[in-house]
Amino acid sequence: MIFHSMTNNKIMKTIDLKSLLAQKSYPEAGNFIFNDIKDSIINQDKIILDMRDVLSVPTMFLNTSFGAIIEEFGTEKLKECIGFKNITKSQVERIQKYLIDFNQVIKNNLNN
Amino acid sequence: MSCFIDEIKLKGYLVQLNIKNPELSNYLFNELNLTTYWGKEKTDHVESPTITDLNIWRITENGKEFYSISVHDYFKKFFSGIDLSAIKVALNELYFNVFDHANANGNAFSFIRYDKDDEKILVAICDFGEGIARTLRKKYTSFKNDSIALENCIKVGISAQTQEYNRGFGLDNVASTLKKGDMMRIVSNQALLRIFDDKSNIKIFNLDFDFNGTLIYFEVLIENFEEEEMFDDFSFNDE
Repeated sequence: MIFHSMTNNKIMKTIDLKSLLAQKSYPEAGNFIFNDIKDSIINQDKIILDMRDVLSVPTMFLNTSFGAIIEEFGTEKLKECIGFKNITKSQVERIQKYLIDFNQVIKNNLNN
Repeated sequence: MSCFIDEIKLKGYLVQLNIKNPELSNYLFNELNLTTYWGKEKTDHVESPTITDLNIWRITENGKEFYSISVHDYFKKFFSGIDLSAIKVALNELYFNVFDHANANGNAFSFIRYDKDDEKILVAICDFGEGIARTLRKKYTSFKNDSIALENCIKVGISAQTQEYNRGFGLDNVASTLKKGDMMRIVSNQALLRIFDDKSNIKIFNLDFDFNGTLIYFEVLIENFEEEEMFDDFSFNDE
């Protein structure tokens, strides 16, 4: 389910990740989120991921969503346009670690 | 043993287990219901009558996401208030690995238990596919032997990239959850990797036989899982 609202002249789109994952595999759901985040970056809007009842965010979801955004727009753009609702501490830590690791891999690839 | 039985049956041989120990016999035939898995039709999963056993599960493409939820919910009944998401993430990563890289032709099983005495969750996932070491060496020709390949498989960014969404974070994601008292072993082709406590304590061994496939086993102490903590809102800008 997707909800739209307005805050500070920005459109805020809230995506219920649990219902998305009920319809799509992790990589497919990640691709879906990637397109939404990409549109939000271009339009300078914001995406809120509602994580209620989402048990895990494995890397095949993160790779096709956040990782793909980092490759195209960089980490700062991702951080600016994404927010979370009802997220657990361990999910926050896992996503933060992922962003650090992903940037490290990009750096390593550039150096090689 | 499930992978071995499956391999033998696939080749058309009859498998007969002659167990002399009554306790072991009861465990294999009554609790695990082993024979039901290879009856007239292949069965993916049989419910176990015991509390501590989730029983053997044949890893299937359609069931791989569902089963990790079942396992999580099963443990959640006994350990409410504890954040067990690391177990679900680990299973997601490892089950996807089987389908993305192994080419195991359906010969892949997992077995998950809770050890009451040691208060540990034990997870074993095995496939008779190509093996992590051999798969990685096809892509990274600088990995001169299976031990080097296995040593690298848990580093971020190392991936066979069989699928576009593989980027080499999965096994690190599993290994990084290990804490003091936990353990992980990966056996693949002619190498064994062992982690004691956490990723700072890794040992690699050469094997004098070839294990055609991958066996991943890990143990995690219940006390190492943190209590569940939920944030109503989180934004990176608030950090």
